[in-house]
Amino acid sequence: MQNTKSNISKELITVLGVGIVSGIIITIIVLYGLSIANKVDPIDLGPITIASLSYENNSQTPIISDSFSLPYTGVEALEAGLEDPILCSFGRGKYFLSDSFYANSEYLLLYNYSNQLTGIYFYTSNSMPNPWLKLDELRGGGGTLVVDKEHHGLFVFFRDPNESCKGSGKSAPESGTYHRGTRSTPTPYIEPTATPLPSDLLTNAATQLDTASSLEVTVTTDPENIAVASEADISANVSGLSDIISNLTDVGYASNTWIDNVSYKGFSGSYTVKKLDALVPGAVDGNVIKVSAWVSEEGVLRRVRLEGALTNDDSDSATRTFDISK
Amino acid sequence: MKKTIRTIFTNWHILVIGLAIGAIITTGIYLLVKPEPAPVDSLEKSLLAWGGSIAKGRYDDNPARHTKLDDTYVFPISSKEASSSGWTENGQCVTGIGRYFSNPNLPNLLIYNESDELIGVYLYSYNPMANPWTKSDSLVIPQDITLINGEHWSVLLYFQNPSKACGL
Repeated sequence: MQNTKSNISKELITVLGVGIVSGIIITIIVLYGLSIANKVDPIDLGPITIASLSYENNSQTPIISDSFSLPYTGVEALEAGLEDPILCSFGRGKYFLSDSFYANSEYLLLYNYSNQLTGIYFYTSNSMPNPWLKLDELRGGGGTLVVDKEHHGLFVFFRDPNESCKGSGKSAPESGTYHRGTRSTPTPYIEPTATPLPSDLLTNAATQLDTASSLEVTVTTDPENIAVASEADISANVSGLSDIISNLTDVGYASNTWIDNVSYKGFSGSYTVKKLDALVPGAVDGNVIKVSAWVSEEGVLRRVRLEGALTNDDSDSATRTFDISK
Repeated sequence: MKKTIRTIFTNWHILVIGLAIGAIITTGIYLLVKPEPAPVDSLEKSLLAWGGSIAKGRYDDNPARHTKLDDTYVFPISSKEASSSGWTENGQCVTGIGRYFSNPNLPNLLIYNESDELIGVYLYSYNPMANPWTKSDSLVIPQDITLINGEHWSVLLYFQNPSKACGL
């Protein structure tokens, strides 16, 4: 009797064990299947760049000839000279403003409450077709005037603008966040990291340029017919370019750019012309010009642009761009 | 063996209880150790928006007079969606640029990559525009396909690096 009972419970325990193991295996398979089925590959966002196209050697294939990255975060925006308006405009975001950053431009960058770049507002004094919309003026958070003239405007967003003010108390118009004095939290202060001095990076680039061999320099000018040495002569005398970038004053960071799909860090500064005849015949010593330079992550100088009157025949807007490649 | 199988089927209710216990244990463990997906910066929505009413002629935030965005146009973020919502693919993927989609009702082209993801917008205007717009000639891509005819001003805005738009 005892034996029969023992046999029955053994059988039941075995069946229960088989059931549990099967349950575990089946659940693992189901969970795995569900995770595969629900897996969503996110679309990368960033960097946000504005690019220009050109055609190489009159071919029909466009290439990106120039581009610049927009400040992607509030911190980058502040570094670029933009100002955080603090107040968020429902359905749009925070219009970061700056006279110097937007000089001669007609666009505004919008950031959300988390200080992520969310969109761009393009505007123009010209009459534009739909969906551009004519406005007398544009006001941002707290009624701040951000475009103080009649214009046509259009937003391009790459994040949901309705989420822009989430967390600021402006996530819905009904939330009554127009209260005067209701302020969002300012952009958090972030302890600056040890960013290398731009002058040090340029000195390093100049050193690398001096030690490099077999470099090829291509030159473009605007206007086309201004004085510049031949590409062969410049290629044989790249030290002239390293002299320029070694002797810049008021050096600072400038807009980064993409050349042949590689990102380059931008610098700019002033240069007082001295013995530049090898690069620009007729260059007048003592003239002061603006110089921009773009350097790779590895510190390799890729492009130098000289802006301003170098010779007596130049206008102040004359530019000479030297692209350096191996 | 036959006896064991017979025993299992005879005690099917015990088997079901075992299956349930196994499922509950596994699900419980999964929920406990399931890793939270890392937050990623991804493109979830992209759109054109135009706001303020012409009659009112201004844009402000006072809830009493609140001016919502009058309208928006949400871009399809996959090229498959684009194809089924009025956008037409033009030509093939241009290396380092992407795949152009056009829609005659909108002042822009959309750019997708080989993975069908929206990666950029090409805005254009036949009226002169200030920086960051650049003056451009006709936009022509290989196989002599003209996407925008004649001189125009454009802004090519990328949401990610387009260098691998057409694959490696």
